[in-house]
This record gives sequence, C-alpha cells and structure tokens, in this order.
Amino acid sequence: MTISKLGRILVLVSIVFVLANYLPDFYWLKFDKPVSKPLIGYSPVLNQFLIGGKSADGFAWKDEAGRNYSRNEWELYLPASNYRQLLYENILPDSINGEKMDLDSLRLHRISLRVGPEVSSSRWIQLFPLMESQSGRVRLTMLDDFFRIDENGITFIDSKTNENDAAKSKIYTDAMLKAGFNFPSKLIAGNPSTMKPFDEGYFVIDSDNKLFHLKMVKGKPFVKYTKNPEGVNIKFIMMMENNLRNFYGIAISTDNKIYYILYDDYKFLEMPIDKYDHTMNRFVYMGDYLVRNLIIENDTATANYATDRNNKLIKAIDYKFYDGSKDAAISAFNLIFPFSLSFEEPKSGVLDIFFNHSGIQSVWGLILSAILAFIILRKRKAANGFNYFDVLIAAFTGIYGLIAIILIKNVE
Amino acid sequence: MLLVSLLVLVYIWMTVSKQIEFNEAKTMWSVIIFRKYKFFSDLQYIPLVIGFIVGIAQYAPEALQSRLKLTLHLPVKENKILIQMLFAGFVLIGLLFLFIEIFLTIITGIYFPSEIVSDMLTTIYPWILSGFAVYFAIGSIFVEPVWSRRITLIITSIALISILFTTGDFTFSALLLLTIVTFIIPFWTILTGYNFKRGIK
Repeated sequence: MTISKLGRILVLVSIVFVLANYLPDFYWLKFDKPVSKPLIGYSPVLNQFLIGGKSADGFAWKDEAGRNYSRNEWELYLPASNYRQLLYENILPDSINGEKMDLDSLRLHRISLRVGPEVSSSRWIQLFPLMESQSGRVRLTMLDDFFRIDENGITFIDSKTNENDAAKSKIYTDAMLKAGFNFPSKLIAGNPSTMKPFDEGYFVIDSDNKLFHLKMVKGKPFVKYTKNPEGVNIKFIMMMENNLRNFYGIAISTDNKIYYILYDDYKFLEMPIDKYDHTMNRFVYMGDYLVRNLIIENDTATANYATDRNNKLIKAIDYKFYDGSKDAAISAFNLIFPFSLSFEEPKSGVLDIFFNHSGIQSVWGLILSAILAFIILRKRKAANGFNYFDVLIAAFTGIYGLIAIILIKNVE
Repeated sequence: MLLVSLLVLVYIWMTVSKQIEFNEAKTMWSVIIFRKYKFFSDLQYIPLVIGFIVGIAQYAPEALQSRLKLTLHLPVKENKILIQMLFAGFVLIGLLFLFIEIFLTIITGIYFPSEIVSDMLTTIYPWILSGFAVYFAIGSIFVEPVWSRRITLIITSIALISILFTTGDFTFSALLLLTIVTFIIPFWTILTGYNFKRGIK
C-alpha cells in the first residue's frame, strides 16, 4: 500500500466516524414519533388499577377492562393521592376501607421519588456540605465548609479561604474511625439542599462495603454503622428526608433490587418488584396514605406494583403502552444503518461511547451497499476508479462507507 | 493571540472573585458542585478561534500566493514538508493552550479545591482539542486543490468539532476516542498533498 492510499483511508475513517454520528440523528429527527407514557395508579376503592394517558380526545382515564372514567371519578377513586382537590370540593370521604382519612396522615404519606438511569449514572464533583441537623431552627442553613473523604480521612474545606479546617477534620475522622469506618469511601449519598424539611446528613459506604450514617448533631459528629445486609451490593442511594420518618430513602443494588432504608434500625426492606434494570428503567415511587405505587418504566411498558404501607403487595400490573407505531421506522433504520455511534444517550448521565449494532437486519443493507459500490466504482475511470478494497469498505460500513468512497476517490 | 487569551483569563478571574464577593463562596461552590455551573465557560470557543486564526495565518498566504506549489516542488517529500508545517503550528498553539491551562489552573486553585480544578480541566479538554482539530483541518484543507473535496472535508471537520462541544461530562474512554480522531486529521494532508502535487481533479 502506498502512503497516499493510507492518507485516503484515514480520511475515509474520519468521514465514516462523522456519518455514523450524524446520519442516524437526522433519520430520527424525521421519523421519530412521540410515545406518551401512561400514569398508572391503584384505586383502593375499585381494587384495580386506573390508567391515565393520551387518547384521541385528550387525556383519558380507563380501568383495566377499558371502561372510561372522568377526571372527577378518578379523583374520587384515588382519594388519598387526590385528597387536596377532594378537600377543596368538600367531598373527601371520612374513611375508606376502614382507614380514617385524617389530614395529617394523608399529608405525611404523600411522597414521590424518582430515579432514572440518567440519575444513577451521573458524575458529580465529590464535595459535600454537612449541615447542622439539629440547629433548633426551622430553616436549614448551609455552612461555609464542604467535605471530601479520601484515604486520609474526612477533610473539611472552608469555602471562604479554600483551606482545610484541620481541627474539625480531625474530630470527624476520629469519630468515623471509632465507629469502624475504613477509609476511603466508595459512595457518598445525601441530599445537599436546604429545600427539605430537615437534614439527615449522609449515607457513606466505606471501603469494606459497610454502610455508615454520618451527620452533624449540635456541632458534633454522629457516625453510625448501619449493619447493612452483607449480600446486598449497593449501586446507588437516593436519600430523601420526609416528615413521615419511615424511611431515609432508597438503595438500589447492583443486582437490580430496590430497598427502603428504614428509620427502624436502618433495616433494608426489599420492595416486591421484579423486571427492574437500573441501567435501563426509571423507578418511580408514588406513595399516599392508602397505597404505595412502585412503578418501573421502560420504553414500551409500565409496571406498577401497588403495595400497602407495610410493603405488602396488593396487586401488580404490567401495562404495555407502546402501540408499535415506531416498529416500521426501527426496521428501516436497521436496514439502512448497520451501526450507529453516539456520545449522547438519554439513559446515561455521562457522555460515553455508545456504539449500537443494528443486528442481523443490517445484512441486507450491507449487501446492497456493496453492490452499489461495485456498480458506481465500475462506472468510474480505470485509473482511480474500481478496486475491491472500496467494495469491502462499503460491505462492512454500509451507507457510511458507500458515501465516503463516493466522495473521496481512490488514489494510486 | 496571547493577549486575547490573557484578557479572557483575567476577565474570568475578575468575574469569579466578584461573584464570590457578591454571593458568598459557599453559594459559588454549591452551584459549581450541584448545578454544574462552569465559571470558565467564557473560554469555551477561545481555543477554536486560536486554532482557526493560526491555521488561516499560516496557510492562506501560502495558498493564495501559490507559494505552496513552490514549496512542494523542492526535492523533499511533500508529506514530510506538510507534516512539518502542521507540527510547527501544533507546537505553537500547543504552547498557547498550555499557558491557558496553567493560568486557569492557578486561578481555579486560588478559590477552589482540587476536585473542582480537575473537573475544570476535564471540561476544557475537549474545547482544547477543538483548537487542534480546526487547525489541523485548515492545514489539510488548504492544500486540497479540488473544491468538491474541500467542501466534503470542511463539512466533516465542522461535524467533528461540534461533537467536542456537546454539553455534559465526557468519560475517559470517550475523550480518548475523540483525541485519536482529532489526531487523525493532520494525516488527511497525506491525501490532500498528494492530490495537490499531482493536480488530481
């Protein structure tokens, strides 16, 4: 091979790289169709799920059998999640299924929380503010320092001077060591915001996979080993301080189980769900006084596991909402594009290399590309026209290589 | 060029110190950590502009006054000359970018801890790459004699460079791939130089 041929190959590689990035994007700009995800809630009155979603005439509520409900009916049948509207209209029932509808309970249990794959895979600067959790004030305030945890211990850095607070760092490092913490940490999870009812500090996993609770109580360190279950490999923790004070938040394990982290001795309570994949699915917790809806969403279906306040499964539904409207476009895509390359992916919180192979369907596209390359190159003049290498490029990279060899002619 | 970079860097420096003075340091830290606020974003297109200007300044006179023809008729291999030309420019803008990075590291290090400094460096890395990419592209494309191929290469390089400006946090492997692709561009010149010398239409 001559050096000029090598130069051409590098140009072809660059063009294929760019096309594999942009052509699929352009394709989906033209052919993508919106698929609206339904809202599914369990009705403790009807003892079945009500499914709300877009239909021909706007938003509509249906039950599992397909019977239509008006918005007012839906509100009446899901009273605990719509209690504010019912209260406003003065039609909130006194009790449902023997449960008294008292305002405090209704308010406390109305909690929602969501974790998508883009959240659990995001990358954050590993610096955290530690708030005073018992300041005696209603409003939370951020202190001036932020902490990091590394192999040397926990270090507090004063944002005003950008210098380490050696004294405070020592007190906290000692407290953590005393509690049995093995530095450095593998995961630090908290909710660093003042827009929450109170502060519970952080859950920190040490290098021995032990889970610790760290917070500041009246200026002093509070560090406690939670005796987390050994077989559970924690991938992600979402902390969410709420006035119900039943659970601190949720923990997601690498084998796709979701646990409540309970106030009751930091017990891990496994949610009765399956079909969950933390890299692909969104988890939504929609809780109210009567029902805790545990929802797992993927691109084609929504599963809802309705549980009671004691985590007992009442009923589950796996509702397919995808109507096949994009199937033709996907098939055509796989035929035209043998693969696609992207750095962005809605299910990822970081920009990574996302290489997608179109599978067996792309073979026809590849064959067609090779034949087209053969015909087009044959028509070119002999000197820098036909050659088997170019046909091979088209056969392996399909439309991308075909375009590249048409644009950049062969050289000697 | 050095002056322009210096002006932008000093501007960033003054802005940061003003923002800290007005909003308290902890607020500034919080928006950087939890809202991914990039206090140095004014710098985003500076490497691109530098690469562009150096590329044009080096290659436009050569091409317009047909000096390149003269250069390439010297009894030296055209590839060697063209790569050497690109390498000279690469060293020049590389030094400029190094200056920018060091200066920005120092400014950032004054107000923020090492975590924020390294986040800053990974964020500006693809921006720096864009400066090299545009320079290499200009160097290769000016040599190309045929307009249709020039346009192909121009579009390819613009598309490549816009990937570098995707908002978000690149992983290490993504940055590695983008670096490799960027450093393929100077070798386009092997083809364009060949085309130039042979006058391939």
